This record gives sequence, C-alpha cells and structure tokens, in this order.
Amino acid sequence: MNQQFESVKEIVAEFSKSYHKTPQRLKLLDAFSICALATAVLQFVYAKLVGTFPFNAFLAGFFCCVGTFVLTLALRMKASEAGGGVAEFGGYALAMCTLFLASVNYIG
Amino acid sequence: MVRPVALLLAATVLCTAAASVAGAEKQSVLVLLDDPALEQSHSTFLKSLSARGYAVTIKPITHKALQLKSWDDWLYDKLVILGSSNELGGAVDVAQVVEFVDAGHDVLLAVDSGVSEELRELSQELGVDVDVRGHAVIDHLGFESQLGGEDHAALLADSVVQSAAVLPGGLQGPVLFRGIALSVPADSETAFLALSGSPTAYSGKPGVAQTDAKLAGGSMGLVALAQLRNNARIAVAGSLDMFSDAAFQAHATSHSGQGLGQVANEAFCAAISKWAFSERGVLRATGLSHRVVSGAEPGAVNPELYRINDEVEFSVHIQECNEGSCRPFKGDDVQVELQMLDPYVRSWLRHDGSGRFSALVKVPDAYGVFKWVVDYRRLGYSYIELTETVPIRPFKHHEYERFILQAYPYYASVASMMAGFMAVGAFFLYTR
Repeated sequence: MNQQFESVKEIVAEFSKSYHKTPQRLKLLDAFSICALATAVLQFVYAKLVGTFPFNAFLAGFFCCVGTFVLTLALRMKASEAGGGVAEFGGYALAMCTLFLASVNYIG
Repeated sequence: MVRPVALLLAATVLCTAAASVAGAEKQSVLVLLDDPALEQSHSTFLKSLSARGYAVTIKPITHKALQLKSWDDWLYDKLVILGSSNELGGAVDVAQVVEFVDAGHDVLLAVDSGVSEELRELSQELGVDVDVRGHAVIDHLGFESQLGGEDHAALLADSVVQSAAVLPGGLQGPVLFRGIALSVPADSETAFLALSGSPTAYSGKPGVAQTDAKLAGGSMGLVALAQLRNNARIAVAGSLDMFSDAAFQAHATSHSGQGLGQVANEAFCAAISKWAFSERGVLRATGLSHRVVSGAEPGAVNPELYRINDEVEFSVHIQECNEGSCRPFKGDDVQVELQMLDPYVRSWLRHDGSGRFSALVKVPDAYGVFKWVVDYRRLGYSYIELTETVPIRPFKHHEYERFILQAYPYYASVASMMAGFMAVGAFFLYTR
C-alpha cells in the first residue's frame, strides 16, 4: 500500500516536472478547459439546488461550457503537434462562434 | 342592367320571407284514419289539434291518392295515424314515413290489437316494438269494472314518465287504456315509455288462460315516446280507444267497484300529442360566444386562436320553449367540454337566471385543434349539440419570460465562456 502511494507520488512529481516544460500557450488552453468544466459542474450543482425552472437557460449554460471544454481540448491536441495549431485556430473559432450563437438563442 | 337584377333579388327575398312567416304561423297535420267513423268517435281529440293552430287534413288510411310529398316538397309538417288493421295506401309506405321523420317531421301513431303488419313494421322502424296482432294488455287486478268487466282488457294505468317536459304537474287521475302492448329495447337511446303497465298487467290473448307472458309489468309499454337524433319526435300509443270522446268523458270504477272520478285521458292525450309535435320541452341554444379573460389578448371576443393556459369565458343562451312561449332555461346540469379527440376540460355551465349559461375555463397546457362541445341530452327535452372549433397555439418565441432572476448564473456562465474565448484566443495567437 505504502509502496503504491510512493509510486503515485513519484508519478505526480514526474508529471509536474515535465509539465513545467510545456509551452505557456498549451498551459493556457488547459487552464481554460478546466475552467469551463468547473463552470459546467457548478451549474449542475446550482440547478440541483435551485430547481430546473428556466430549464432552457440551464441547458444553454451547461452545454455551452461542456462544448467549450471539448472544443478547447480538440484545439490543444492539434496545438501540441508540430505547427503549433495556428492553422486549426480558424476552425476552432468558427465552432466556438456557432456554439455561442446557439447558446445565446436558447438561453431566452 | 344591375338595378333590375337587384330588384328581382329583393322581390324574391321578400316573397320567401313572407312564405316562411306564413309557414311558421300554421303547420299542417295529416290525419290518417283506419275507419271513417273514427272522425266522429275521436272528434274531441281531432278538434283539439285544429284548436292548437294546426291545419288538419283528415284522410282514410287506405286512400288511393294518398301522398306525403310532391316531388321534393313535404306536403305536411306532422303526421297522425289512427291505425288498425288496414295498411297504408297510395304512395305512402313505411320507407316514406321514415324519410318523413328523417326530414325532421313528427309522427303520432296510435294502433290497437288489430294492428296491421305494415304499421307494426313502421313502429319498429321508429324504435318501438308492437306486440303481435290479436294480443291485448290484460290486468286482472287493475281493470276498469264497467268497460272491462268481461275480459279485463280495459284497464286503468297510472305509472307515467317522471318528466316535467312531457307531463308538467304529473297525472291527475288514471288513464283508461284498451289496446296492445309496446316494448322499447332496453338499450334504446331514443325511445322511452310515457305510460307503462302496472305490476299486475301482462300481454296476452283475452279470454285464454296462459302461464307466462313475454311482456308484463312495468317494462311493458302502453304509450312510448321517442326523441330522435335529428330532434324529430315520435309518439306510439297501443290504444286507439284512449283518444276517443268516450274515453275522454269516462268515469273510472276500480275492479272492486270503487269510483275513482273522471279519467285523465284528455289531459294525457293532449300532453303526449303536444310533446310529440314539439310544442313542449324544446330547448333552443343561441348566441354561442367565448371570450379571453386573461392571457394573450385579454378581452378578445370569439378569437380565432387561444394561447395555452389562457383563461377563457364560454357562454351560450338556452331557452326552453313550451306551447309557443320561450322562457330562460333553468337546468343546473349543463356541461361544456373543450376537447381534442378526448375532453381535456369539462366544466359546469352556470346560468344567471335569464338563460345565459357560462363557464370560466383555463385552456389546457397543450396545443392543437380543440373544439368546444355542448352535448346536452335529457329525458323529454330536445337535444342540444353545439360545437365551435378554436385551435390552441403555444407561446410565440418572444412571449416567453426573459431575464429571470434565478437564471443569471447561466447567463453569467455563457458570458464568461465568451470572454474567456476572446482572451485565450488573443493570447494563443500572439504568443509563441
């Protein structure tokens, strides 16, 4: 047990050491996607507490965050490859704008 | 060119209006008699028809040139058949009388024990079965001792239908009856018994001993009435004698020799003929309207559409017409339904004493083509069937509530995602 814990600690240490070498712009994308996921979870908790009354607004807010999370992860996968993902940013921006358009329409 | 045409049109309209007014004033009744002598013996009843404002035409039932209609025009409004063993003559047959009834006309049919097959068939077509020829209603405990002392087939009947529309104020005295039994199918939606047998009465051959009877007691009819689906009315009486002058004048004596006073035949025959000729118990529904009280367009009268959850007031005027005078109807059991195949709302209609029936209804939370339905069927009253189609629509896109307080976190989340996208996008593109 203790040995397993030690190895997990080792993995985390190794991970944080190598993550320090990750370029700044990829770290930013990671932070943004984690932030989007956290917002989605928060909204889910809020809807559980307050009730589902403006259900359309909840759906729009929740899925806007989930969509942002997924799209940002997709961009990050491209950005970690050679070329830096600048070429893919156009598609990312278009998808995000479509997502926002749908969300704003649906939120009421 | 236009003016003469207009004049001609106006003249035609005036003529038809005048004709319809004249028609409304005097309705014509055709009376078919089995025997010409009936005109004398039943004169009081026949005269009462003329006295009530009918143009009465009396013809023998076997008349060679008998006709009910000429081309497509009905010659009479009502038909009275005082029939027995003779069949219908001339161009008149069962099919034509049924057609006459289908056109909304009323028929009073009286038969006796000598009833012909054709009249039995006619009665059956109208929804009332007549017992076989030669049978009579017999009551060994309820016979009239002066007229029915021999065969016990002249009896005193007093179990009448409890309906203010048919017999206002009930029956004052017994009804003298000599004739044949009737029956109405138990599942009949149209016919009912106006006068039925006493518990000891049965149908059989007079003077012949018998151990069982197909028709007996209260389920055996002496006089049956029917209100058809097109509001045409039928009366079938199993006795010719009950309409006679002699029966109108008779004093009843019970089988034990006790005097029971004058029989109520005259009042009873007048009551059933008035009911059968739509003089009593006629309901008129007019002025159906509906109004939005609160919702999409408050105050809109008879709107083409409702929005879901609108509050709506439905109203209709109902009058009850008895013997030429119409008064506000006072029924407490009128309902209105709002239905789309199934009723979604069913509500009582409350009246205000002056004939206006109304109900405040919340339109259901479902959209589609709905209709208001008033379907009122009560014993003795003519039917009311009203429908009015009003579709119900959902909220339009801009009619939903906006900027709801508890939805602000959701608005904020979308706004933060947009701002985050702008910031991250700029940083991503302009840093290396």
